[in-house]
Amino acid sequence: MAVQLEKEGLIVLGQAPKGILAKDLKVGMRMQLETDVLYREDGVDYMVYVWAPAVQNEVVGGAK
Amino acid sequence: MSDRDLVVLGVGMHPWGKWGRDFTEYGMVAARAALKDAGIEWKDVQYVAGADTIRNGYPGFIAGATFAQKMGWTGARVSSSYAACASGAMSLQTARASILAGFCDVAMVIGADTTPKGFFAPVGGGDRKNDPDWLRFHLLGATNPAYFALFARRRMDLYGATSEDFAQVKVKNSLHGLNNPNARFRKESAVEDVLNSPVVSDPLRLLDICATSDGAAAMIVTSRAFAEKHLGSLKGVPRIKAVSTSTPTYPQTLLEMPDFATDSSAVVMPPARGFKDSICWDAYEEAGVGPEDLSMAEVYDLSTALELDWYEHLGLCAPGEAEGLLRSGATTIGGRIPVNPSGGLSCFGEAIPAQAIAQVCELVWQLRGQAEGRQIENAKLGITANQGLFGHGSSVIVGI
Repeated sequence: MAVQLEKEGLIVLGQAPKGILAKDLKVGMRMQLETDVLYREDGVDYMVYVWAPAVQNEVVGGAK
Repeated sequence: MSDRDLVVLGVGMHPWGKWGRDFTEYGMVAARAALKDAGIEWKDVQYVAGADTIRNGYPGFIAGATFAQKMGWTGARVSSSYAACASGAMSLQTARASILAGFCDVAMVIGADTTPKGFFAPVGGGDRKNDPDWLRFHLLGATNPAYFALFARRRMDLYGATSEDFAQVKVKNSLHGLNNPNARFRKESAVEDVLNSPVVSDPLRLLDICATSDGAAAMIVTSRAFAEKHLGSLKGVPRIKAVSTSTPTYPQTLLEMPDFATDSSAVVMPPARGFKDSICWDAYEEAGVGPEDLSMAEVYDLSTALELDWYEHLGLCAPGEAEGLLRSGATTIGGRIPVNPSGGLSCFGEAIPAQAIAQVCELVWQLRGQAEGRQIENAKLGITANQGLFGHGSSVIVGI
């Protein structure tokens, strides 16, 4: 999904966390930055940033 | 005729399809067709401007010299241009610059490709952690249709576009390309066909998205002096009036492939014209014309929804009005400003380095009245619009 940072104007593409589907998302929703496992290799987790629906009242920074 | 006009003496194509043969085979067919159309010999060509792709391995493999060798070495000068989907326009621009600078009189512009099955993806193995094209696949799984879908979703949110609107673009283009002998897909599509085709990247379906194709296109461009000597009169002969190979201006605030972030607009205000607007308007300014002067446009319909975006970038209508313009019939052959009379990528699929050249070929056939089965009456001026990965713009204006 494409998320726009409110102050900076930057749009950053990112995946949603596992389990969040297109039907769970709406244009204009507030999002927050999290991390998730991109893939696992030889017992090592390789991490990636993801955009997750913002938890109420816990929005840090502010992005939509 | 302006002193900076370039005469298009001949055009030729190899039909688009999917055979997996050596791309130079296709290129030779297009080159010979263009030479025959121009009424000149291969040995008359002084400059070969090749359009590159990396899909065949690496750019050097598909350079201008590749075609010069295949046609038979003559000592001609060459250039090789890589601008992804815009490679054809960039190679035309190098030929144009060479002719207008007086270095040569006759140039061949040529592009050909053999594409792999399925989605385009970075070529070559191994990690390339500094390459945004590799990273977008590795980190996000963001194929090209994922970007097309974001742009489609944007139209839906901003302007209320619907899947039916997008399907109507396919319906129009499938009609346009029905009798085009160079088109790969020659079959009428109804709205239901599009809506019933499988989802590729929500909201876009299989028939909303262009295929990847094999194909080749070539043209012979010359100086005015050579063409006058060769033809006698230049009346009714198509001329290149503008070639725009624009890049974005900072800050680029709309997401473009293969980047997965835009520039920040926190410090510098976005330019009055965004990237895709500027591609078209730079061409208008160079030719001294405007959208009201056009008889037709060939635009890069990588997806149905992206064709609608181009209507607005070209100034055929105001932002948000493209769906209305389409539904009015204005962009259908017979309408006020037909778009993609060739059938567009919808009927061709994409053969990357050939595509921007193919767009110009169509304008030339239309301007000469040779577009059998899809002719626009009284066509006088046309524009192409196209955009390549990595910030490569491409727009060409051809008129008689």
